[in-house]
Amino acid sequence: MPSLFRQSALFFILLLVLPACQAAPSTEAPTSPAPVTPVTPASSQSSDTLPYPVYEQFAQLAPLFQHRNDTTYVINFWATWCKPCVEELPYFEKLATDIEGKPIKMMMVSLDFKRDIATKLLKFVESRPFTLPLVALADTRYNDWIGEVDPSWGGAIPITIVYRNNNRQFVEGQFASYQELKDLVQKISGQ
Amino acid sequence: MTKQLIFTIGCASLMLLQCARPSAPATTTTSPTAPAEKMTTATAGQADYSNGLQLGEKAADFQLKNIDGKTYSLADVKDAKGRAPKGYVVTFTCNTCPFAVGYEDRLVALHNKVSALGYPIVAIQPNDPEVKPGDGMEAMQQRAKDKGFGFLYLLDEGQRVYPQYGASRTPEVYLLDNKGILRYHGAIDDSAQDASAVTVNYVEKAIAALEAGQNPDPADVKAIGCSIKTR
Repeated sequence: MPSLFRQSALFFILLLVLPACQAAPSTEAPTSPAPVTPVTPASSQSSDTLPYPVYEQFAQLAPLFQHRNDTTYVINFWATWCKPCVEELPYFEKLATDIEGKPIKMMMVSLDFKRDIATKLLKFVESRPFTLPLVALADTRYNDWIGEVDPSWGGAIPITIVYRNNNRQFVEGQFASYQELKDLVQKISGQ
Repeated sequence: MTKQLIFTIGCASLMLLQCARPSAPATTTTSPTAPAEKMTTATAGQADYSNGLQLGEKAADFQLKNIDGKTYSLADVKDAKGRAPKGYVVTFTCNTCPFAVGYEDRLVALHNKVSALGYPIVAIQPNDPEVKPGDGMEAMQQRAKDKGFGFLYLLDEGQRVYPQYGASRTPEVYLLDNKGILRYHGAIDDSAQDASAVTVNYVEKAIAALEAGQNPDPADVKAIGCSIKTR
């Protein structure tokens, strides 16, 4: 616990110095490998101490929606401040165990506030029983990318996209049950 | 430093407790073609709200109870000088969404500015207080008092009004002209998380366009927000 506290304090200090880092482009931190991520970004602004990448630009996330390789992708937009999102997280945690060995990949895209990415989000993620593939999207030019995710999306979360090649479903709102999520993934993946 | 850290974590925990309740069952839409081919930047006017109010359409009036206990319709709203408004900044917002909370001070300032121009803010709280007690009438009254809301803060009792507008999140603005026609829809400004980093106030920009006899551009700006809470 004391080490976690020191760690948290470190992230807080990092947050404080972050604006200074941004002013000096040459001080970009090395990128950390994301857990089971299908995305291979050209660069990431994440602190090397975080267990998930932080994307400052939606363009870094965009390739995730463009795969044409027979793998099914399950992408959920959520945030720790969004209660319906947090309520459906166990469904995604269960899905992660159920799809092991199958050609299905998941990505949880956090829309937590920039100021929370290295603190509240980290603490939340560490408190969960399972580790899901996660990226924090810190691009606040929302209007520039919300429509790219889906033209019908107004910006409320949670949303989920399940796609395989050109077969794609966009789900707005919280899943009522694990079964609802599982059925959708089975329908798209055939698995 | 330690105190600051504790404060930060404390605030984060409070916010987690505050937000949102289960929303309506998920709705699914199928896109036969994936959006991969059209990775161009989304621009204004591309919104596709199948059931909501469209730009150029006339908004339905309503009868909703205000925090002062009186019932208001758009026809009852006056601007800062007591005149019939030139337009209405209908804003769906609530007490509990961190995005909405982050806009409270900005809404107060915006109302002071635009109501004097003839475009008062009309705030409507669309969440079901049964689902989210922090959004009930008493809580609304308290928040309005604490923050000095100079605008109407109406409760969408029975949740009949927000679906007519097609609102999906808080905060979400519908700028109507004096005929009740929707002229601008969406975000308040371009920096939800940081008031000091705003570069464009879309509502003010849209009002300036109306004042100049022009169509607002952009006329539709999307933003992340909290889903509207229903049973």
